[in-house]
Amino acid sequence: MNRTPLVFLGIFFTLAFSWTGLVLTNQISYGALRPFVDEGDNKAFPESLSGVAAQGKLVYEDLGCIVCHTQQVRRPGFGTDDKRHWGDRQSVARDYVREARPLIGSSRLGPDLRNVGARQNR
Amino acid sequence: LDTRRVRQLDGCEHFGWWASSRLGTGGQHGCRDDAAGPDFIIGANHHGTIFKNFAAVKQSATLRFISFGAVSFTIAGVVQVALGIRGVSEILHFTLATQAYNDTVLYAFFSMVMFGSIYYLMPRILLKGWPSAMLINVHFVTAAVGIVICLASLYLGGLVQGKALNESETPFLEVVGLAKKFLFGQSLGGLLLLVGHVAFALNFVLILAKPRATRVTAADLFQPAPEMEVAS
Repeated sequence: MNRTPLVFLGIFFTLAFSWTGLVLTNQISYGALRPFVDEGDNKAFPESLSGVAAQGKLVYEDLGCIVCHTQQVRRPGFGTDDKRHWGDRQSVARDYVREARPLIGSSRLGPDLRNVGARQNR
Repeated sequence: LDTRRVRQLDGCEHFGWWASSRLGTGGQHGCRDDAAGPDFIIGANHHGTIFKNFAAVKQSATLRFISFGAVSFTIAGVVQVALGIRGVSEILHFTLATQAYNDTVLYAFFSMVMFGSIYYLMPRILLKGWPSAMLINVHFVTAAVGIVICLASLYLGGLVQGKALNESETPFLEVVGLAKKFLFGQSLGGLLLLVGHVAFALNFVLILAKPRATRVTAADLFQPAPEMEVAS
């Protein structure tokens, strides 16, 4: 018995189902997300990284900082990110819209570094 | 927009399928319960069969590894659901527990099933039996005990670390200090895994180097060959 079409269709629909969930639905949700343009300031947010900061990001990638640091702030009241001064509000999708490679991380063996510049500047 | 959506940026694994949902890069605890249904169905089926034939599991190296992996698959499903619960996620998110979950999927489930498969396949491909039953036993015991130590340390460490992180008056460096001893536990487990991997590698090299008995022919490939899997 020739089961090739069945096997093919099985694999096809399995992958198609994953693709729909992983790629398509996210593309529909966020594909059109653009930086927010503030007419008053005449600036687009989030602002793009300055040259030194962009180089710093390369160093961050190179050293593998992402292994122990996150770059996503949880909302006030959920965890203690705000009390630890890691950020005044939660991170949202638009914050990462300019980043080709968002380094949001998954482990906090070290503190969150999303707004480290702002808090170390004080 | 809320953080949940941000999580979807890399929380892609939640729409996967069965094992593929387990093999995602992990890290983000979004809605992770979608794959739980198939998990429990597969699990109930497999575990029932195994418990009825426990003698066979003790006999066969392959079955031991596969069963360990299958049980881990169910555990990973339970953990996945648990991590999707808001209260649990608030504590365990971003802690060692995230790594523990990844290890449950990638080692306790996937690697163990792969080891079992290799123990099944190699004799049939090469038409040779495994040279050493002792090495297989060493591999299984060290891998099983090692990964259990790793996972216990990391899940427990994640809980301790997460609770400390959520007390805003605990300084961050203190939280890091708390995680240390659990990471030591993980290293200990990792050391056991290393011993197991050396035993496995040695057996693997030996089976490649071992001369083939003259009586076996290619036709044996299509015969059941239980004697090829070394009984303990």
